[in-house]
Amino acid sequence: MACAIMVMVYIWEQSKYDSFHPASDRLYRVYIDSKLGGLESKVAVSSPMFANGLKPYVSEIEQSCRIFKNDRDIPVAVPVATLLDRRTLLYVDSTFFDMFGFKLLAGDPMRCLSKPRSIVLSRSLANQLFPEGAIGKILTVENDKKWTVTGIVEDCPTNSHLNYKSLVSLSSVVLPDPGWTSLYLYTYFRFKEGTDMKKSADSDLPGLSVIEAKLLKVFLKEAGDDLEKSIGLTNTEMREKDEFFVLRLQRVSDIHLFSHLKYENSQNVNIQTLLIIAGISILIILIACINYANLTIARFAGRVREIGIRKILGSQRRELANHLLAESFTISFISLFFALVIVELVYPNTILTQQSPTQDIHMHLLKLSPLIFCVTLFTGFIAGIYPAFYIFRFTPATILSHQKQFSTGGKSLRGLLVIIQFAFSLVIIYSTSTIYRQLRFVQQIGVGYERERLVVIQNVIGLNGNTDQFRKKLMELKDIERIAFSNAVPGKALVMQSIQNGNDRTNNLMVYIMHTDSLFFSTYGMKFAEGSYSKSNYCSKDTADVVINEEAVKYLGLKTPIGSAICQKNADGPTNYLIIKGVIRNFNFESLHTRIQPLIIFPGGLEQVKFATIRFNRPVRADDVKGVRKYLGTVYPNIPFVQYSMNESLGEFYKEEQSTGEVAVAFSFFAIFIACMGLYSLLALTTVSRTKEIGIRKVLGAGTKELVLLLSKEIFKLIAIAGFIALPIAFLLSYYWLDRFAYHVLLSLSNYLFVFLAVFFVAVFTIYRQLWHTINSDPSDSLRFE
Amino acid sequence: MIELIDIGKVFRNKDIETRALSNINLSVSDGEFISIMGPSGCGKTTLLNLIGLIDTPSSGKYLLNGLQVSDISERNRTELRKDNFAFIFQSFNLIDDLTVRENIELPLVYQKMAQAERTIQVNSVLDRFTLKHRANYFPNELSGGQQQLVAVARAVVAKPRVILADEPTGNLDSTHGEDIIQQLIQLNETGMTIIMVTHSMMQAQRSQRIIHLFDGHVVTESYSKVATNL
Repeated sequence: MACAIMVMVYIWEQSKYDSFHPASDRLYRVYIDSKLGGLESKVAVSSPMFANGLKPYVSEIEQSCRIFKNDRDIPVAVPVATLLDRRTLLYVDSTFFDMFGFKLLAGDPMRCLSKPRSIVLSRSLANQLFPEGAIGKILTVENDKKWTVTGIVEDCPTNSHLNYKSLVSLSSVVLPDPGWTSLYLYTYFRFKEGTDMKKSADSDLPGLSVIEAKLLKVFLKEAGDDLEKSIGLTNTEMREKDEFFVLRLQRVSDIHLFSHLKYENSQNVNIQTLLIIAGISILIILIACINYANLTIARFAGRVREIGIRKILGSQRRELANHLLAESFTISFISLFFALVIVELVYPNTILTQQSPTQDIHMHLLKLSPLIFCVTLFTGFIAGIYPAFYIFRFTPATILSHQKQFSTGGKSLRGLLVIIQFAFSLVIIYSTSTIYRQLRFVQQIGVGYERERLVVIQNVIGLNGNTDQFRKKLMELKDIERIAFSNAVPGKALVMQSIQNGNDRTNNLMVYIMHTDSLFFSTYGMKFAEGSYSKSNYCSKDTADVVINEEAVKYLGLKTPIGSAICQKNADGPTNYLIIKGVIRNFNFESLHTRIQPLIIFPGGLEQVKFATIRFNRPVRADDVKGVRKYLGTVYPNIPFVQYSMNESLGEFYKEEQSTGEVAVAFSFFAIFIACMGLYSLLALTTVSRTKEIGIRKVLGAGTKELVLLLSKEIFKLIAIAGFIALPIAFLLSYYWLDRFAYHVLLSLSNYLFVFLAVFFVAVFTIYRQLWHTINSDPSDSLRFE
Repeated sequence: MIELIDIGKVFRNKDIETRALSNINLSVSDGEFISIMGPSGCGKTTLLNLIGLIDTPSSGKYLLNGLQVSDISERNRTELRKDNFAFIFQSFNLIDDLTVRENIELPLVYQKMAQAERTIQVNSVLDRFTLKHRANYFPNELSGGQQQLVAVARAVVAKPRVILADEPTGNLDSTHGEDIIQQLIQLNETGMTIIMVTHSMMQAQRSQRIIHLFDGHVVTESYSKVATNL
C-alpha cells in the first residue's frame, strides 16, 4: 500500500507540472515540426522573431515571452568569484513574470527585466551573494559587464519544466543570427480567453489547428523568402513533395509529461513510463490482496471444525462472512496508517524523487486522500471477498461430514492465484532485466569512435581563435595524445542544412553538418570506409573538400562517392561545391534512440571553434576530467570552460531509462517478495490440510525425498505454468519498450530462462524451511493432528 | 523378535509432563498374535507407536531382531519400519485424494518396487480381499467396513513381518468388525506377527496372548483360552 501511495503521489506530482501558472490552460510553447529532404524533425526551439513578429498579426495572442539559454557559464567577479551556471541562467523577455506564475519576492514584475543588464536572483542565490540585501546591488560578470539586481524571485519550484537560479533581461545579450529560420530559443504565447485551441484547420497538414494554421500563414508571409533561401524550396514546392515546415503549439502544462522534442529545456518524463509504474503498483496491490486471501483461507483450514460447531450452535453464515470482510477492512485501514508513515519517511529519499524532489508531501497526500481512501476500501474488499464467499458456500453438515474437502476445497482457484502472482513477478523481473541489458548495450556498443579516451572542453569560443596556443598548453598535461577542434561534437551542437546532389540539383536534401579541423578523425579514432582526408585548404572560395558518412552515401544515392560533388546553397545566393574526399564509417552522433543520419564534415577551414576534444592514450578516469578543469582554471582563469568525458556526455541521453531501470528494480523486489509470501501462505495451507496425510505416508515408509517431492511438486507445477503464461507478456512489454531505440538488444529466450530459474530458486528457498519442518516432524504428531 | 526393556515414554507440553509409559518390559516372538488391552489413556496407542517405530522412547531399550533401535535416526527408523511393520488404524487413515488401488499401492511405491510388479501385487491383494470392483473408488465413496478392508489390504501388500492394529474394529459395526478380526487371524495363520490394541475382551481372546496395561504399566499378561485351545 505504501508502494501504491508513493506511486500515486509521484504521478500526481508529475502530472501537475506547470499547472500553477496563471491561465495555464492558455499558455503554450511554440515548436517546429518539419519534414525536409525526407528527414522528419521536431524541435522545441524557435526563432527569436516569432514572439514579436507573429503577435501583431495573430489577434488571439495575448502575451508572448522568449527564453534563451546560453551555452556557457558566466563568471562572476563581484561580489564574489563564482559562476552562473548556464543550465540555470535564463535570458528572458520583460513579460516573464506576466506569463509565468513564479513569485517575485522583491522588485516590480513589469519592469525588473525591461532594461538591459538587469538580473533577478533566486532567493537562495541572493542570500548567497548579497546576504545583507540584493536589490540595487551590482554583479560584475565576464570581467567588465555590470548587471544590476532588480528583483528577487522565489527559488524555482521543482514542478516546472523551467529551472532557474537567475533571470537576466534578454536585451542584455546580442542574439546570434536573429533570423526567422534561426531556431535556438524558446517562445511562449498566452492566448486570449475563449480562443478555441483545438479546432482543426481545413488543411492538408494532419492535426493542424486553426490557430497553428494562422501562425503558419503569418510566418510564411513574413519569412517565406528566408525559408526558401535556407532550404531552397518554396512552401508550395515543399508541399508538392509532401514535405513541410510548420509551427506547432504545445500546452506548457503538457510539456513535462508529453514532450520529447529535440533541444528540450528540461529532462521530461515519459508518460508511458508513468503508466507502466502505475500498472506495476496496481499489480502489487492485487498480489498483496491475493496473498491475504490465501493466508486467511490457510488460517481457516485449521479451524474448520470450530467453524462447523459455531454454525451448529447458532452462528449464521452471513455473520461469519461479514466478520471476515470486517476483519479485512480493518487490516486494510491499519495497513494504510503504517503505509502513510512509511511514505512520509521514505518517499523524499526514493529514486522517484531524485531528479524531481517532492515539494510538499502532506499537501499531495491531502489532495489524494479521496483516491487513497478508495484504494484502501478496494483493497479491503478484494482481499476479504474471496474468503467470505468461500465460507458462505458451506452448511454446518457439509463442513463436519466433509471436513477434509472443506480444508482442501478451492485448491484450483488458490493455485490460479499463485500462478498469477508469479507470472506478474516474472513479467516485472524480465522487463527490468531488459532495461538493464539495454542500458549495458548502449554503454558498451561501439559508437563508431573511441569514446572511452575522450574529454571534451566546451566554450572554447572564449579563446577568440587562439587555438594553437591552447593546444600547446594542453599538451603539457600528462597522457594526452592529441587534440582536435570543432564547432560540434557527437551529441552536441550539430545543425542541419540543405544541400543538393551535384548530379541532381532538383532535390533539396537535409543533412547534418560539422566543421572540424584535420585532426578530428584521428582524435576520435574514426575509420574511413573509402578515401581519406589530408589537410588541404579550400581550392577556391566556393569549393571545399568534405568527408561524408556512409549513411550520407546512401541518402544521396551516390554510387562512387569519392570525387563526387555536393552543392551547398548559401543564404545570400552563391553555391558552394563540396568535393567528397572520403567516406567515414557511420558513427552515432545522436542517442541510440534515433537511427544514424546523413552527415557532412568540413575538415578544413574551421571558422568558429566551440569545442576542443582531448584524446588520452588510455581510458579516461574521473580524475582526468578534474585534472583538466583544474589546469584550465589556472591557465585561463577568465574563460568559463566546461569539461566532461565523452562517456559521461553520452550517458545523459539515457537518464530517463536509467531512472526507469532503478524504479523497475525496486518494484521487482517488491513483486517477488510479495509473490514469495503468497507461495509461503499456499504452502502453509497445503501442509495444514495435509498434515495427517504426511503422517500416514511416513508411516507407510515415505522418506524425506518422497515427501519433499510430493508437497513441492504441485507448487513447482504452478510456477512452471506461470513461466509459460508470463513469457509472451514479458516479451511483448519488452518489445514495446525497446521500440523507442533505433539500436537495441534482441529479446532473448535464454535470458528469460535465466530469470525463470532465479525466481524458481527464490521460491525453493522460501518454502524449503517450512517443508523441512513439516516433513521432519514425528509421524505420531501428524497422525494425532485433527 | 521384538524386545522392550524398561521402556518409558514422557510427553512434554509447555509446563506439563505426562508419563505415558513406565518400565515396560515386553517380548514378542515371530508369528505371535498378541492383544494389548487397557482403559482409555493407559498408553496402548503410545506403546503400539513405539513398537512400530513411529515414535521414540524416552528411556529404556528397544531391540528389534537383536538390533538396538531406541535412538536411531528418523531416516533409519523409516527404513526399518518399511521393511518390518504395517499399520491398521481405528480411523482407517486412507488418503482421500487417492483411489483404493493407489492407497494399497502406496507402501510398494515407497519400497521402490517397479511398476509392473506393483500392479501384480496390488491386483493379487484386491482379489484376496474382494475389492477389485472398488479399485477405482475413492475412500469417501466406501462404507466404513470397506475402508478398513482397504486399510488391511494396504497393510499386507508389502508382506510385512508385523502388523500393528490400533483398535481396527473401533469404528465398525459388529459384522464388519468380525470380518476384520477373521482377516487378522488368517494372516496370523500364514506366519505374520499381529499386535492388536483393543477394548473388546471378546476380540482379545481371539489372540494368543493378552497384555493388560494400566496407567502406563504392564499389569498382567495372560494367554487366551481360545488361542490355547487352538
